[in-house]
Amino acid sequence: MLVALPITARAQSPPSVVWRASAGYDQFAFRDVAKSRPPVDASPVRWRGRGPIVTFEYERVRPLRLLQVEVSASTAGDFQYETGVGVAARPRGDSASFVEGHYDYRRYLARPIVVRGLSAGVGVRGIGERRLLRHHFDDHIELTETNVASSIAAVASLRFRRIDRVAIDAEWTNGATLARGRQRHVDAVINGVSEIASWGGGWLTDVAARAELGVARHAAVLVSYLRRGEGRLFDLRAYTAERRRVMVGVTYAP
Amino acid sequence: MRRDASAGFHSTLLVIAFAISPACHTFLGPSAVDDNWRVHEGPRVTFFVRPGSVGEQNASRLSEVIEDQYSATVAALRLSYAGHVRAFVHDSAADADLPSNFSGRAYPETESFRFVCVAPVTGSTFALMSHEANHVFIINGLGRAGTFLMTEGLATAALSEKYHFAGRHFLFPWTWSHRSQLPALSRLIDDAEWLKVPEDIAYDASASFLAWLLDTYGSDSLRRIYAAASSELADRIASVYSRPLESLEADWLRFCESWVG
Repeated sequence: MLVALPITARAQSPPSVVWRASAGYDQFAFRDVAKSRPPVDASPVRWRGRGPIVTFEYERVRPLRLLQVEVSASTAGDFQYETGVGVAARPRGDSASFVEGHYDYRRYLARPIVVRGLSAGVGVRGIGERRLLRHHFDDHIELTETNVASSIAAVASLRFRRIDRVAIDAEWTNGATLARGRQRHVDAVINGVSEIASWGGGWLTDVAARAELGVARHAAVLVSYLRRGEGRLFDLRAYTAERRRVMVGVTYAP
Repeated sequence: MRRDASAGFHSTLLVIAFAISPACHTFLGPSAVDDNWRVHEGPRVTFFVRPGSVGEQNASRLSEVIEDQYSATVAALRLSYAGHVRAFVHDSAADADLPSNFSGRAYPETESFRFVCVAPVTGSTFALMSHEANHVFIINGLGRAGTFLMTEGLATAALSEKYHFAGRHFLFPWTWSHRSQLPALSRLIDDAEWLKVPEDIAYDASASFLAWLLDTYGSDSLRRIYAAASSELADRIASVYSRPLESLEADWLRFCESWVG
């Protein structure tokens, strides 16, 4: 007989440890911004690419508390310009890569809300990330944008633990970002290199959901979705970006 | 019973708070990409115009002007950039969410720009369009400039005057006639000060000085000072031109006084 999902099974016996590994598809879309004050004036053209992502999570769960550490790495290619009425392929060298880690601390209400099995929580998340964006113009001009960023965010979360073997979680995250941005422009024809670097600020909003289904005494399979909107403002330049990822993976609770 | 009611009340408050809490993306995110465009392909610049608009009626003329500007900017600054650019033509300031009918914005990383085009289409329309397009050509050709003076000034200083006279024919006489209002160049090279100067004066004075510098000393020297930040631009100018900024400023004003077109 299959037992309940590990998280559910151990909800009353703190603390339990959960490991997750997942992989999937990540989509990145970028628009440079000419005016960053609301209403934000972003480019009418979207630079969009897609590629694989892998994520590992470690979680310590008590009945009303959660600590989580997650690291992920992704890369995007196959970029194109989207104008709303058409798309145009970009050079093969256009790419984006990301390495991200975050730490979560969360508390849940003791009593269910609205329906039995549904509980609400709030928490704080610290995020560290490094990203590298490569634009190519005419094959001989390369523009690279490197950002090293840290964010602090508030997380509102809902978790549903009513059905045996099934766990559903949803999160809404809003945060502020401090980043160091470096933009490097290289023209291979005239052998010209220019580089600017500055500190910048930004924001992020995540909407995420995850469903897990227990398949063995210590294991479950999971499906997750995340949509992120974000903005970054540096000296003399700014951009807004969107990420969407769909992943499948496994959960292991020793 | 009272405790249950209290817990229920707090739970409800929490749910409501989740629902109405301001999300950063709601206030700080961009609007969606627009799809109400008709496309007019050009050799190096594709125009996106509103159906039935003044921009659509003048798309061929706009294309002719911008192709000339592209060639002129690449030649004047010896750029190797030859990317395909997208121009979005709005039919009013409200349509573009811009402050006036003589406004535009550029987005170099995505090789695009947009501007307002209303009747009558004149040299001012061409100059506005060319200024915004020049931001894309120049920034993608040279990288980001180090100052507002260079970013905004060079986009106008590089205007071709084949289809209008809003370049040197306007800038040099304007400089001399407004000499009493012009801030010292030592202020204009400082980004913090540049923003305090009235916008039209900051733009035109920057453009006039850079147009003179480009014509007098050539593009190689200008490229060497292009990326210098405010804090280092005066020294970089002195090093590249072997003269202090004040000396160049005096020569520029004398030139504008005697310029006859």
